[in-house]
Amino acid sequence: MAALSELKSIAAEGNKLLAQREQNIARAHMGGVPWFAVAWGLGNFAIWLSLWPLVIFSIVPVWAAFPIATLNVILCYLPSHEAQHDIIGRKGTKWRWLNELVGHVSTIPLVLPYRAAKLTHLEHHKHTNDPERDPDYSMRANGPWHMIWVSLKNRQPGSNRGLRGYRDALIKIGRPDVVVDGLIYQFVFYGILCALAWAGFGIEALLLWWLPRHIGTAYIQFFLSWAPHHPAVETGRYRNTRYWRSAVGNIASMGMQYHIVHHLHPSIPLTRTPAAYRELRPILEARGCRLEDH
Amino acid sequence: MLLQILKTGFRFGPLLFGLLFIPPATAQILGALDWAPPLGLSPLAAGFALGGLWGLYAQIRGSWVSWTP
Repeated sequence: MAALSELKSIAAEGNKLLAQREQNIARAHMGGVPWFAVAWGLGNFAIWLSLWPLVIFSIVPVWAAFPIATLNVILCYLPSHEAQHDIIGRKGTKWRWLNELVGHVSTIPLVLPYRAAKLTHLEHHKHTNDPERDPDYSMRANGPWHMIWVSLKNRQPGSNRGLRGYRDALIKIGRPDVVVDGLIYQFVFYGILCALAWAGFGIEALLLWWLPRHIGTAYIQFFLSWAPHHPAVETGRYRNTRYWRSAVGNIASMGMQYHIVHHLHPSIPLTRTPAAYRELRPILEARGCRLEDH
Repeated sequence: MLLQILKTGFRFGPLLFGLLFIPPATAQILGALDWAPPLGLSPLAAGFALGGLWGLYAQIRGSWVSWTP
């Protein structure tokens, strides 16, 4: 009995040391303003916005602007994601305004309101893979092709899953006021699309916003919601996400190979997660994390 | 009041999209491709036929692309 108690004590001590080492490594990768994310978020939005006059005044052909707009929408989420975790500027610091600016502005091409994105994303962190409480759980799918179909189905008008399930998630956490943000964003988005179409710019509206938004949404959901959590059956700090090797590489998968680092330490900026992962790897192995090199 | 208008608008979202966006966009696409709509319809009328029927389908079924939402 005494031996068992001693073993438990040693295990607890080991656990504490491991946690301390993990925290020390993580802290070394936090702090400072991630200027790259700031320039990315605001620059990406500026490029997308500039496409409109360039195309409308026939300076750039719409077929050439379409892939750029699609790339803009794909790239627009992550800077806001940094802001959602207060990485650019915490409350009460001098860069807080910049944090909120990037958060609000960068996801405009995606028609995703910052407050709704932030609140639902923080719920995803708190309840990852919980079928009842994770707002992103409905992105679960059997494989990559099935995921693309699920993403498309979730965006249908009668669906209450995916982004359309955020309404219920916001109500559940007592923030029905934020649902209005989504309604206003949608109203303005569809209003602009219709106005452009009746003004003779329907193809431009389709190829600079409507279709890029659909492609971008699927791409973002694929690499941010589905792939890092697949098969999304486990909960718990060290098992609810994974390190994985993407067939398209880390940049094309938007840094999500190291998603496990983000879930363990959300204050580490995206660009520092690979370095943090390399240092944390022995600890993650000791914790029994899902480190899938193949 | 504004909220109620927004909510009502979204209740009929697919139908409104089918009637307010698809027709002029279709007319522009047909013009760009230099395609004449069948049955002697004007490009805009063809757009209304397409958008109206597809929007109605999406309104009733809850999906633009499948039988169930």
